Amino acid sequence: MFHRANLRNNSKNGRSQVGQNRNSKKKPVAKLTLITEDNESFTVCKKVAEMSMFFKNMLQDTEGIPAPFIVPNVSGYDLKKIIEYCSYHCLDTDCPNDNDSLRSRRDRKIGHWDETFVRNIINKDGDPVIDNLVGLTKAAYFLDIPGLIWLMTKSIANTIDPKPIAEIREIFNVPVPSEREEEILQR
Amino acid sequence: MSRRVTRNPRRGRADSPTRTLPKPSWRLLTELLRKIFKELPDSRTKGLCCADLCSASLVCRAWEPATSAQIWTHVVIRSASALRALMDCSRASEPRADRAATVRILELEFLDNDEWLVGEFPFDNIGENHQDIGETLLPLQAEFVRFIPRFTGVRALFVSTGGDVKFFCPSVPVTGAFLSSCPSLDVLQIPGPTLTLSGEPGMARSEAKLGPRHWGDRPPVVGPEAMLAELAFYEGFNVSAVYLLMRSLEQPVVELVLTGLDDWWGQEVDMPSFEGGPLSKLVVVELDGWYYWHFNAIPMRIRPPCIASPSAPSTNPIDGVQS
Repeated sequence: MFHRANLRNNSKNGRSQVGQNRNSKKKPVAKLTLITEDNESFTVCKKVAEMSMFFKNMLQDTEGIPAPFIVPNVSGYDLKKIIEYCSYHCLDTDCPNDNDSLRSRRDRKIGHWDETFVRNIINKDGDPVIDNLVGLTKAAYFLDIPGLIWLMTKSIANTIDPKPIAEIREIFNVPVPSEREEEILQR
Repeated sequence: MSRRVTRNPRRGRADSPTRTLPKPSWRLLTELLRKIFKELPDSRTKGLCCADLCSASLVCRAWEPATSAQIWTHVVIRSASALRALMDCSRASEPRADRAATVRILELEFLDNDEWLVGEFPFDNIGENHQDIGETLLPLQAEFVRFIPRFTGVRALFVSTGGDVKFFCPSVPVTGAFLSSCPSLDVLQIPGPTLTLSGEPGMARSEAKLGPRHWGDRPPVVGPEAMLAELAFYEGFNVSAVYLLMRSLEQPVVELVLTGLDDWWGQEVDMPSFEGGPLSKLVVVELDGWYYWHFNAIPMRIRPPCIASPSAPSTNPIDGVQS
């Protein structure tokens, strides 16, 4: 997988192995250590972490790199995918946001890399697709990453769009409403 | 209660015995659901397909508020039955939240050969059977006038017409109700509202005259706390109604558009006084047709300089409006 910024997952090899940016060997790159709610540890460049408004504000408030930071509400799997996304997109300048008009949001296409990124989520071993998408969406929302939120919401919309209501309920595991509830909804 | 050991592949390790519960994928925050539904294509597909937001709202009650917010933000009404459905649906949703209050943009489209145009709403009778405005309200129109105050959050009202019905337009009561009871109304783009002409029943249009009572001491329909900034009347054929509404505004408008109306059958219209009224803060004025010849001096006199709109008619040089 191509990463624009260096990233190592410490939980896999069991030791801290911080990569160096090839273009800035002389100047050490600021790193941030993140620990997820299920105790997985990740080290990321400051530039990558700042894709998240949550981390960006935190780094501004603390005026420096804090000690290992525990990220609540985010699992190791989700944070790994988030770092993968942020590492690729950290140099982007064009990012969809809520101020875009509805038409421009709908007309915006998912890029090739993003498409592969989403497909890899879908191919996660045996898990239902939507479960991973929703989990990642929640994590992206919590960490406030506008580009990833848009990608995830667009992907979920694409997943549910051409399907009938019964199938949507099945995919999202929505309990079938009672007749009375159905009547209220119809009204 | 049944218990079983589950393995969560997302975490890659066995979990302790847990209750078997449905996966809560659908339990997304309403804010996230809104973002998802914003991405759904705006299709008009019928049937049990989620391509339509209306269908998505039927999936479950937890999804309904998010879809409703999306559906009701921009409402387009094209027929009398759609208008009635809008009012009925809003009333039905009252116990939880009045849907009409969530409308931000309301569009009324009048198309050719539509029963609500020919039949009753929202036109006054011109020529035959004309009466004073209060007496010409037909049942649906009257009901709509009473319903309009529910649109507390509407920011813009657009009325468009098509084909041969371009001269038909909402009546003064309808327009006045929007102006007087929608405090967030910022933009009003409608054909000139109709107003019955004074004259005898059966009198031809060309013989009808504008009655002085239309300039009477009517209370302002828009108070100073309103937000109305853009006022546009186009294709209206009753100048007196346009002036009546303009004169009754207390909130000064910033952009004024009066277009269309190439022929006024040679009628003379008394110009109302606008000094110190709704035109005192004009920045952009767009006039053409009859309005250009009879109205262009007023904005210039009240608040120079005005900016010429690029869409001004080519036949009438707009230089005269710039001071």
